[in-house]
Amino acid sequence: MITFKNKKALIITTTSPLIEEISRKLINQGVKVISVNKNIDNLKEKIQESMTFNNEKFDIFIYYEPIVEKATISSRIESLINIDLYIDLLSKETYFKKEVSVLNITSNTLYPESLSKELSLKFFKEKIRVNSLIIDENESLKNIKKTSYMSLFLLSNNAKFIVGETYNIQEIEI
Amino acid sequence: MINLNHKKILVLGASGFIGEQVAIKLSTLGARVILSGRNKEKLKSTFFKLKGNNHSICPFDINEKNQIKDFLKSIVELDNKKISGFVYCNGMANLRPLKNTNLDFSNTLMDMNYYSFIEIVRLFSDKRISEEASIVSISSIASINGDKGQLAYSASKGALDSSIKVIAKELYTKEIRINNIRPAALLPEDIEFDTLPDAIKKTIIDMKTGPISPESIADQTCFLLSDFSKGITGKSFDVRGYLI
Repeated sequence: MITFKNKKALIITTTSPLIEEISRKLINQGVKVISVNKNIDNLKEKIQESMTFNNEKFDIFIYYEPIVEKATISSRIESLINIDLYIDLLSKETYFKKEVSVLNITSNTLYPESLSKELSLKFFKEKIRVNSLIIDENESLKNIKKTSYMSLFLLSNNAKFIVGETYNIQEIEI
Repeated sequence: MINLNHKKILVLGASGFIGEQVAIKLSTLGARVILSGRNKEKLKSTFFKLKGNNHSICPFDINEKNQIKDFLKSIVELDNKKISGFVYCNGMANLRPLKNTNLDFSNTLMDMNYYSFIEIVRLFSDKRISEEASIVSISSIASINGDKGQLAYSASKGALDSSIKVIAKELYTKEIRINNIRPAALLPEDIEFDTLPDAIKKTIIDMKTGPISPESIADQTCFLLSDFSKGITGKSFDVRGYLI
């Protein structure tokens, strides 16, 4: 049902079992996946390099912003500064095709829920569709499984009418 | 990627245009589909569009609440297998201004869009009927942003929406998941855009993506019914394009 024929994905991340799982699933679906560590100094050069390699722009963009378990409020606020990098990359027309599916995955509970809406509207003309997942900080195997499938669904064309949403994928509190 | 092999799924409202697409998609993904609704002829027509065999038609009027228990039991008895999930595509979307929204009219919509849903969820959660199941309800964006004339409809869908989290919490230990889809404006293939009410036309224009296809709702429904969405429960998913 979910297919990603001839798609190319850019993943900006740090090392994470969740991202490894998402990458693996995308690759299994035939997606060309380029992962770039967001902490490197020459991030943009690396992205550009991967573009010139086969001269193709990206149609999928995943930005992963994890946060350490039990992080303090101040470190959560501090991590929000990285949103600038995410928006900056998203603004680069040279990186992306038209009709791009973007997913911001974060475990920062202070992530502004309206951001996906604002970015979707900002990049409406470029047909960039932005959604976000707020996930459990604990990357347990169970969480990785459900988050990775949900990520693939939101990135796929099957979710093409789902725009600007932020889903909080956490265990239900009984 | 997704498959629904070995799943027995009940589609309520399978004679409607969303229900039909859901049923077809479920069958292509390998599920055994039980079609239900009031219109036998339409159910038959949907039945012949399903892929594979082993599907069944069980006509039923969901408003007959006293018979829901026997209805569910009869579905289990078809093959002595419990039901893996159901999708609630039933619904009435009649429009009336406030001055004409009398008690009878409100009750009629609440009955179909909410009370019948709660009753079938309640009886479905019986361990003799279902196991490790997933429920999907089709609501409407009108529940959070209704237009003129949608008072009773919006209220009934709002009631459905707010029940999802509560049901999810109560059925979590029974390993039954429940999720809800809230589409904005859908356009069936056989209806011309120009013939739609102005409010719906405006919604479609504001979505900027064109009307949502029933196939797209069917895709999302199948995802939520499948094991690929395991762990996801109590959520309402808005499907509304750029109407944000």
